[in-house]
Amino acid sequence: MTASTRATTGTGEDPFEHIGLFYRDEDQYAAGCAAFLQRALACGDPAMVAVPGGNGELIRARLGPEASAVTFADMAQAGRNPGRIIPSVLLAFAGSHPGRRVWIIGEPIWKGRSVIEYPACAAHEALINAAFTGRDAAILCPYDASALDASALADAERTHPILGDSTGTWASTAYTDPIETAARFDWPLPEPPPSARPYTFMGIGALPGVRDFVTERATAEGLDDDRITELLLAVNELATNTTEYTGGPGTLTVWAEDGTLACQLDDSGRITDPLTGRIPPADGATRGRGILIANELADLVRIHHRPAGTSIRLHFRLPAPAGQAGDAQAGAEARGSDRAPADSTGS
Amino acid sequence: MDPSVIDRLSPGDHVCWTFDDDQQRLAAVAGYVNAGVRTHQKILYVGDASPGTILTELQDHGVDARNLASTGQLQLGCLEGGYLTGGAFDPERVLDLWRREITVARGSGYAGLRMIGDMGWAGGPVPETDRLYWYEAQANRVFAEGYAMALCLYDRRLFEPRRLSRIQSAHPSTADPATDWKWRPLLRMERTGEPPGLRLIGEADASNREALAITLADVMDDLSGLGAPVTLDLAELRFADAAAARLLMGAATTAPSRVRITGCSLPLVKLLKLLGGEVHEGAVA
Repeated sequence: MTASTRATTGTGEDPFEHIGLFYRDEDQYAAGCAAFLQRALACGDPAMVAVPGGNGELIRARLGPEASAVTFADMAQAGRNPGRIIPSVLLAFAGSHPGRRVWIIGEPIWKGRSVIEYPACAAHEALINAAFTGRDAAILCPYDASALDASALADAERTHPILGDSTGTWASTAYTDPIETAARFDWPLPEPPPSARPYTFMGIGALPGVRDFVTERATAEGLDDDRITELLLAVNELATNTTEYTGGPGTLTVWAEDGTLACQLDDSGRITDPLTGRIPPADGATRGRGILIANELADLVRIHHRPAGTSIRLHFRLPAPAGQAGDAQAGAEARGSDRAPADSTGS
Repeated sequence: MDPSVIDRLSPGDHVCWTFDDDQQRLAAVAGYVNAGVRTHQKILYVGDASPGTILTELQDHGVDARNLASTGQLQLGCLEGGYLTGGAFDPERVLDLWRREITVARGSGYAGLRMIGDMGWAGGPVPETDRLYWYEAQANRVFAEGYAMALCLYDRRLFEPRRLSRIQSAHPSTADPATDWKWRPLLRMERTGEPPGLRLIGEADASNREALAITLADVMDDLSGLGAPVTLDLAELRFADAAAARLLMGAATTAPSRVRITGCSLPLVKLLKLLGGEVHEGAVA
């Protein structure tokens, strides 16, 4: 925490509020979210709702005409990769209203989040506290208490200094240091399948070969061309970091898994700032964008710090096999943002 | 190294050729010289071995070196009077020498000037890496004109890896003995006359970042007085990393009224947006 904007002035004076809202049904959801937004609108402050699928419609309906003053985004798209929610959703909205207190409803965790996504979601929730310390903002994160695992709700108590439900709000007794909490979700990555052959590279002269390898593997697994170019951008930035910062080799492994293309880079590097990849560097900075770019482009980024280095795994969704409809969530997304039916995801 | 790789080099290329033993060096050089003979280019070899040694080496590797030397198509330069003046490395003087050699080769009717720089002499602590790197970066200006080309020979036994890595990035392309038949010059940068500007062909990444940076800066400097916008033609730029995109964006934003970007691919547009730039109607804002 070096940036002055993140300097805390001591508890009690920090204008940042981060609230976990437990709801059990659509009515509690709409009421809790609408009450939060009405506080914002009463102050004339900018407000945003970033929730998955049709949940936005529940809030819009409850707010009525006032909803036109609120910005809506589909979290299942904008925040599909939880690693990009801080830079691309939360900080982006705050940055577009300089000098104003911003109010954001962000719902990064819902029933459909997979086992591989979950630790990245929970780490994101913890790191919001570090990224927003000292910023004039309020962020409300709804949790579906009737659908989510008890462990996910317990994690929410660790990642939110303030908790609430339909009866009121209270200070979380489980809330602790956000950096330490985020580190609790630095779970080891499942082993790549033995059939995935690793590709080792070293030095900047090896980067074209890295791109050739990734292109060949991604094409073989059926990733479409537009996504291959984005995968190349992301992997190339990470591999460039390996060659420029570690002085040692990096190893890439690419395979298909659960409808995604997984691409893992292992090297001996250490990521010292836990907010790397979540806070855009200053305009003039030439470094520090690799993970930020990967977060923006990938459908999921998992980072695991090993004793001898770092593993970064990117997931890019593969197109559904021909003749098969996508899953319910993909269908909801295809219909477009928050106007999807209310029962499609998350609630 | 696949011999056909050498045949893919053409005027404008500036390649950092790294190797581990003299056989690798000679195989590359012999192929490179013979390709120049076939295309009626003048060949200029400058290094620390004596001209007699080089002639023998080339002759032994299938080059009709003595005959070529007698006609003047092959010219062998010594270290002193080539890279060094009175034992010191003066990069600006060396670049002037290359410009003069280009004029001479043109005057003699050659189709191009094919240079070989054996950089073994630079393996010691002198010159400082900064000067060597500045020299290699500036040399791109000479090659972007499209008449001359160079194979810079860097012996990996003589250069510390990090130092070599920095020197490589001042070259648009790098190759080594493991290079396979698929290799092609990673990036070609061609100065264009109409419209005035620069055409980028290939891929821009960390391995040629400094070469791109200096060439862009040169183009902006050289063309700033024209009154017409400088055109950066990216239609054949197949890949650009974030740093390359920032360089392009930087050139465009420092002089927005003087730069026109054409042929920006969709991935590059997306990357520029991620980096906070916007591309519209041939310009970046």
